[in-house]
Amino acid sequence: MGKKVQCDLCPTECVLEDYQVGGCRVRINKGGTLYSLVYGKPCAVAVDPIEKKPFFHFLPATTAFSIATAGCVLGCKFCQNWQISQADPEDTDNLDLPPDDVVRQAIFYNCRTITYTYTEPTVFYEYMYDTAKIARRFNIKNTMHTCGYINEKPLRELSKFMDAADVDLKAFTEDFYSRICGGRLKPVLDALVVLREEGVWLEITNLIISTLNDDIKKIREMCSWIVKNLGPDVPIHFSRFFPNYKLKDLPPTPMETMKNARSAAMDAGMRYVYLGNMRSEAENTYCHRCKNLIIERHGYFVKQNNISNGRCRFCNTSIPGVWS
Amino acid sequence: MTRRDFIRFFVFGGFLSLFRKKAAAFTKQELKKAMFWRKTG
Ligand code: SF4
Ligand SMILES: [Zn+2]
Repeated sequence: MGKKVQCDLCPTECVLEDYQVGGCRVRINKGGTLYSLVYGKPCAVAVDPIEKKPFFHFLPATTAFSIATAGCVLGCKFCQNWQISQADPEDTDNLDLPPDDVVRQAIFYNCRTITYTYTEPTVFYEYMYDTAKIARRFNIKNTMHTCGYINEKPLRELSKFMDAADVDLKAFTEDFYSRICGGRLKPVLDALVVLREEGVWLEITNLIISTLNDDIKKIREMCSWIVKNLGPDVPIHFSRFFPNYKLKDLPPTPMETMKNARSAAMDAGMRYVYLGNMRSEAENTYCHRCKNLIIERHGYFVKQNNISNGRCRFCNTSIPGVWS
Repeated sequence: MTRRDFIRFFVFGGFLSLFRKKAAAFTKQELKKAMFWRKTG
């Protein structure tokens, strides 16, 4: 008796019996106290270009020290990193890397940023939080790539140390979230608004999957919601789907669909719309005012950058983002 | 951040961390208490 706990970190809000592990696989109730099983135990560590996260309006052409642990709060059928996100922490190869060592390594590899990514950073909240706090002291920025499935209180607390977030907005229907991801859409929309309010730089990624979330009406609706609630300056990255994990029978998303999504987003008033997982001019940044090319990219690499002091070099308009 | 703070963190901290890991290998590791949860009964 008296040993049940409820986790309030993500909207799943697991109620756990003694020795039961949460849905994310990495939080355990032991004798009436909740513990993290992955603190200081990343299973993926790498130095990546910040463009890979993807962040296109955040310190371009710099590197990000990237870490992840096992586990995830969702169970998306198309997950690109399912080998680690849908694994128990005892089944992944983990390093022993406490928060201060993460910061030390980031400094050693000359990274301007630490990124919490690959799986869902919410599941290693305490590890991320402690690392971000130390990184701040050493002028290293903190960014995360998240599904945004996190409750308001922990998100506001984390926002004190988070400089930028790339949020996967996976679709704009509750049906997709419940059938394909095992979650809900509403908490993700709430998290986006909270991040905006807290002044965290925001970019959004939307993976377009044929037949599942490629309805152009819904994409238009989603973009209108973004413009209305987050503003027109939030960059959106439409990402092309390739068959993976449990969705191996679906075809890669046609180029036409990708281009239509981009047009719909621009018609809805979004100023910075990118297409990812495919080569096109839509991986470049064009000034929203004078339409000149201001950042030319080839994949994750920046070929030219015409932003100086956060302004377009051609018309002196301030370009939304974090540039120094 | 002064130069001295930086060296203390980066160089001394690095050495200490190595020793800490050596020591931890021989002791039972404590789990980290989670944030944001409550007892329900
Ligand atoms: S973080 Fe994990 S344990 Fe906590 S509510 Fe979410 S799925 Fe459950
Ligand atoms: Zn311009």
